[in-house]
Amino acid sequence: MEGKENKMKSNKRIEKISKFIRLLFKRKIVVIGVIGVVFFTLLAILAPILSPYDPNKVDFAAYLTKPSMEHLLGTDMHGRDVFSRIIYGTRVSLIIGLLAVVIACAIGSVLGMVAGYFGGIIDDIITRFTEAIRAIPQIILAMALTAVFGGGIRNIAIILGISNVAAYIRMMRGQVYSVKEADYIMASKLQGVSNLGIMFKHILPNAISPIIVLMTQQVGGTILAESGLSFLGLGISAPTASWGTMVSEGRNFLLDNPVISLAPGICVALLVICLNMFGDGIRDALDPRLRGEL
Amino acid sequence: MTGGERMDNLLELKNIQTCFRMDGKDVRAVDGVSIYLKRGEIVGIVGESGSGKSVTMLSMLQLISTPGRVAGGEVHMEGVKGDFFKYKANSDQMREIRGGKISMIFQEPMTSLNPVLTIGYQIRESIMLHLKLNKEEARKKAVEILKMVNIPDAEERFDYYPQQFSGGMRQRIMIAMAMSSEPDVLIADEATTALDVTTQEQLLEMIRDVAKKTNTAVVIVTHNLGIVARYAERIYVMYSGSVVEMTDTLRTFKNPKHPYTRSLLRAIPRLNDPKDRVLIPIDGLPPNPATRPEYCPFYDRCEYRMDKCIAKGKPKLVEVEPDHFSSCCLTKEELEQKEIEIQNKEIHTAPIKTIKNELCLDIKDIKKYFAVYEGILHKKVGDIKAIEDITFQLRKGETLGIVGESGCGKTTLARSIMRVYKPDSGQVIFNGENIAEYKDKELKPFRPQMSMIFQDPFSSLDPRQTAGSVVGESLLVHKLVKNRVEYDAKVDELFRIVGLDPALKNRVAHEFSGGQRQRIGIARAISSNPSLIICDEPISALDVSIQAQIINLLEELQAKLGISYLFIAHDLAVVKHISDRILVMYLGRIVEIADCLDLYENTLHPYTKALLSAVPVADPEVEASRGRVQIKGEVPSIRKRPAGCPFHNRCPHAIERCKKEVPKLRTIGESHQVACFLYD
Repeated sequence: MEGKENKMKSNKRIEKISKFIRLLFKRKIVVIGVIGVVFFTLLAILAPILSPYDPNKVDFAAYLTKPSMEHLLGTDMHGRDVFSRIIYGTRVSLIIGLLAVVIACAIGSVLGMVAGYFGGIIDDIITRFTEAIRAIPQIILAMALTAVFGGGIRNIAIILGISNVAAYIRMMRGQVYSVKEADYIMASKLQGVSNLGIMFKHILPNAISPIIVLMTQQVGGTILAESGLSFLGLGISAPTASWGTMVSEGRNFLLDNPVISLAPGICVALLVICLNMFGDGIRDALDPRLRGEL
Repeated sequence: MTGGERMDNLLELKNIQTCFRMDGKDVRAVDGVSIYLKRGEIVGIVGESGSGKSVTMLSMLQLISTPGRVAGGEVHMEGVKGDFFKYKANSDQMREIRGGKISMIFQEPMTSLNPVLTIGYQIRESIMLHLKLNKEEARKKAVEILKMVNIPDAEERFDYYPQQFSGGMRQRIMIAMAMSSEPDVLIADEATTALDVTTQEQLLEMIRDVAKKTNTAVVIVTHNLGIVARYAERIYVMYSGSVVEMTDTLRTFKNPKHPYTRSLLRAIPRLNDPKDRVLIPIDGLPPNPATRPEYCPFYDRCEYRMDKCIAKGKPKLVEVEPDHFSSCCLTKEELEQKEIEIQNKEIHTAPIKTIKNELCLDIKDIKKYFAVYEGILHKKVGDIKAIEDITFQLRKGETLGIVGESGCGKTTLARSIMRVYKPDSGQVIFNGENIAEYKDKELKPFRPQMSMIFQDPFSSLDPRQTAGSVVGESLLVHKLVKNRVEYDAKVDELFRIVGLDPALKNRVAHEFSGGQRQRIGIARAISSNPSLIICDEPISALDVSIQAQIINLLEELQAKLGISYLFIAHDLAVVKHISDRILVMYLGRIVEIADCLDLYENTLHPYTKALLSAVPVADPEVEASRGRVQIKGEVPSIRKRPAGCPFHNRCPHAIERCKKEVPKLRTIGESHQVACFLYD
């Protein structure tokens, strides 16, 4: 009996997931986005296999060569293979993008939850703090923080995470405010469930889905921000291959070999567009109001 | 076909079919409905939610939006050339019909008026469009109509915005707007459901008067059998997308032919019932239109069913006696025989409960104010006096009904007792201990002893939790079970007690119907073995055929477990049925407390009299013979509570003293308490 019911439950779950996937892929543009994201992810994972050269191997004999069979996208001013560096750059971009968003979400959700649930003076303090963060342009905040704490993948991820935190705080707070008024929260309170229990067992599962959508939509922006910082020389420092750094390094040689700058620039644009299409697709597939139209 | 062939009909709907596309399949929400309407007639369409009553009306006006569509049928109307469905939905002809010939008013008055335009502007627009008058004439006409719907100071209020009016007033304005184009037909789709009973009565009386004066036909679409008994002349009963019975009001209630109508009348409590009447619920649920069988849709719940019903296919509406149509496969003789069988069937009587003399709850003088802050400095500018001077007792095993219109403080009272709010003063003595001042920690041991059943079964269950963990939460929190095995056994038992299959416990809330959800809510409430349950409108969100199931369940549980109930509701018939004593509140104060029968037979307070008289009884004969006590005005906002007796400005017996002093509750006779100077 029990087993049958459990089986039914898992069948239902599979049915639900397959319905979600069907909705997600109903629009061509989302399919393109997903293909792009999968492509870049594979590049990042398989970088050591796919790249023909060590990305950091300096070869002064062959610097600033044009694209050829030997070097698909040519070499940069230190004679490093641009194609290999781009493949490794995917790793940096994706790791920072994902890590920063996870950090932002973790900090932001907890703060937003506390602010929304307890309200009053706690809410006031957290909200003012959020407004303070939002008052500073994100890239400038990130620049200031990098200037203090230095670059590197880990630092950049944390810094970009913190500079993104406000959006999560605000969204979570709003969600909690609407969920906590529901009768089922009152019912649990009246049964003597503790605050922590209510927050994590009842409010969080009911408030999380827009947060997940927000995360998928912010990965792209974060990757852009990382490229921007790296371009300005504040992000990933040489010799690690990062797309932003590559664009920056190549700009002095635009006339000799424009590919050095152009290729990583195009990669950033492509990855961000794909991620955004994917994120929008998830948002629309989860939105019951749009379901009828899709 | 349905007696609709007469030539003098104003409006005729023939065999309307409406489909909604769901998951790639066409689901027939309206399955061949024919309705006719004569000039100046008031017709009621009753049915539970999902029976297709509103959809039929919207189909007629071609207001069905995707994924729905009208799949067949015809609509003819006097003065309109040909079938409505020949015209495109947004053609000039249809627009002329909508609003011009047929007007419709909806349930929610708060959202159906545009908040950025004055009401006068909105009514004038409609008049200018349909009656082709100029601005000046239209204004005059608008004021005239506002006067007709009893808006005081119509001239001046012409330039008011919707939010400056109360809900009842807004619905009057909606009616004014609907009537402004001098339509032939007015459709009131649950138009008074969201309003208080006294306001509902005023509005329906007004609709009737206006309709009779202007010879407009009215269609009252509702789930409330009392309303149609009082106001309609002819009634269509709908069930699962079809009309199952149609006849004049008297015969619908006195001599119903269709098993559904008969069962429904046995299932609903009425204000004039004897106290010991047993409600006989209709088993099961209305069929889901997507999986509706080919045979009679009521078969699965029908007490009269015979084997031939399945074989015969869906029954057609036939004339069983002059002007009385019913769609049932059984012949008259078969029905009569079944009726005798059913009458002789042993009725599952309510178990007898025992009321002990010990007090479960002793409320002394509690008061709760909410501070009002204004301005950027958050300065306190006053108090909302939500409840004041509330004193009453509840014995163990007793049910105390609390009635009153919206804003009278019922919910605040419930929450002050449950200690969601801390009362500003007074005592809440629960099982001998005053918990009014306790802090959250001190309250924890009391939490399992009192619980609550909520109004809305959709928002009171966590959508992400399984039914089993909703029911078992309090067992875990208060460590009422020792281990997993005991927990599972207890949850299963709770499911069985409330009449649910324990195998369903792994499902989440939205996989249950409204009635089943309410059962889960009840299982949760009794899980910790409480001695007090506060039921906050526990059945008002449920369908009429389901309500009796829940009422019976609550009564059974009380007899079995000896629980005391505080039963909050605005439906006085239900409160009368379930309560031993009743407490009537008005604007935050108790106006009357009495034993159930005493309150109905020997009503003392003028407000209680008006309230009882405003409740329509589902029996046209009783309705015709009842005296009316109409009161003027609407319940004022609690922020503008009048000085002295809160009721004095609406009371027909008010004297000078009422304006100055607040009457105290005094005991008349044995246990009848009333707060009114008339009984000094």
